[in-house]
Amino acid sequence: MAEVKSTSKRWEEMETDVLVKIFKELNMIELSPVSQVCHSWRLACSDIWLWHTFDLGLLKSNFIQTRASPYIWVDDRSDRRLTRVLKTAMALSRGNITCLIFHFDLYMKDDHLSYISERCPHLKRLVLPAWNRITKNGICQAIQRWQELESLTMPWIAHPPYIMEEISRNCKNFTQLKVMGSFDMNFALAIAANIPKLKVLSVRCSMLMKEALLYILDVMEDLEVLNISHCFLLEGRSTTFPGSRMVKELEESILCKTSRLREFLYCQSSSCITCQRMILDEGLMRWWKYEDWFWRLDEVNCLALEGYGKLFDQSSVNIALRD
Amino acid sequence: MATIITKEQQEKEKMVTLVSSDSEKFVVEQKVAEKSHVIKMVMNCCGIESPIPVRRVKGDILKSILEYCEKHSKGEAQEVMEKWDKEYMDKAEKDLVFFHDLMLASHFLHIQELVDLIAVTFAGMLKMKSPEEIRQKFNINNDLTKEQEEHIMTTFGWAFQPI
Repeated sequence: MAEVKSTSKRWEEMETDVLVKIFKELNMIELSPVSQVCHSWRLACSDIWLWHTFDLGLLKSNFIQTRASPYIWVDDRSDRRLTRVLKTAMALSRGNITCLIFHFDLYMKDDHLSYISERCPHLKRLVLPAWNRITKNGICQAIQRWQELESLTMPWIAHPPYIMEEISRNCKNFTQLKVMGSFDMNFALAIAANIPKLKVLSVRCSMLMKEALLYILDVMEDLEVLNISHCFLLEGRSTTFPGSRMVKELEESILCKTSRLREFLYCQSSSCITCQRMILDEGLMRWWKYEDWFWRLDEVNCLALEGYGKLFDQSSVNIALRD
Repeated sequence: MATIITKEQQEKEKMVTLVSSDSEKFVVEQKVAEKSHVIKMVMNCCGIESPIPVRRVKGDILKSILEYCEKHSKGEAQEVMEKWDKEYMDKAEKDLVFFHDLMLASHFLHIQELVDLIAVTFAGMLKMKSPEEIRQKFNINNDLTKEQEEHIMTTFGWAFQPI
């Protein structure tokens, strides 16, 4: 074995593993100049070990809700800020991101989505709870590029079939879905028709139509894990709350159907804080009212979000907010 | 009396000799040497009777590392340890050649706590510096092409603005 040489010239010749352990202590903005030092440091700065998960959960848009579609207005500065952050992250990570996480108040545009889908070809998991401004074409084009996608967290949308069709066509290993907001018959039909092999489904803290739940339980034979914790259960033809009746408790016949699942997660209890919040918010959880981490929870481990990580920490947010 | 002798013998048995690459010998307690995952494995399979050669680590580095391991095998209060660690790192980072060798040795010997401590210290040295300042500090050659540099500057320009 060669002895460790004591020359000061060896810093650029250090093994990537050693460098990566050091660089994991730096956030994205601190990494930028480091990546410019020399070739080997540049390579280490884009290592998959640093970049496999890029959590932008601390970045939100400045927005105002509006009455007309897309029901949101976002200021230009927010868009420019997001562009800048994404440009830096994509340049540093060089295609090594496999999991991307965004905040429910981060409203990106098709341009942003297209930029990241082109530069994260190996994406396996996407958490994107806000897509008011993303068009049908925008999301479909992204899905076409993400052939390796396995897991998606998305908001409720009015017409889900197109996205499920796109996933079915492109993402052969897709097995995990989380829908935030509402889960109705349209969703159940679209999923069953297009992603029958789905293994994990979470609709926790959503307005859940009993009809849709029954359909999923009857048709989705490969489903292994279903999470309907803290849902606002509704029964009836109408998909809106006033037209439907609230279901206080699941009947025995439905619970029987869930027994074939490996895991069925259900909570509808007056003593549960999350359930109380669902009632208080009349079935549409107002996440912004609660703790920052509250929306990131999930009873299903693989769908829960852990800490924000180092890459985009609070001090990165402060720098990103400077214009 | 007999029991005391046995105890002393047991204590003696717990000592192990480590030999650096430049043949310097260090006799330390087994629990100190165990802080290194690699030495622990060697002791587990070969025992502690004969001296263990640490071929890739020179005497001055091994001495410093064993000093760290000894302190960290005592189970002292967290505040005491944090203060000690800081002083230990302050001293180490003054000599970058020494710091470099200490870092490689901690990796080679698999002393996780020390690897982490050095990583945090090293990362601290890189913060708030321009690429050129980092190169100068660590005497690194810039082997990036002009195109690469230009690309980086146009992409990262905003991150270099002073705070």
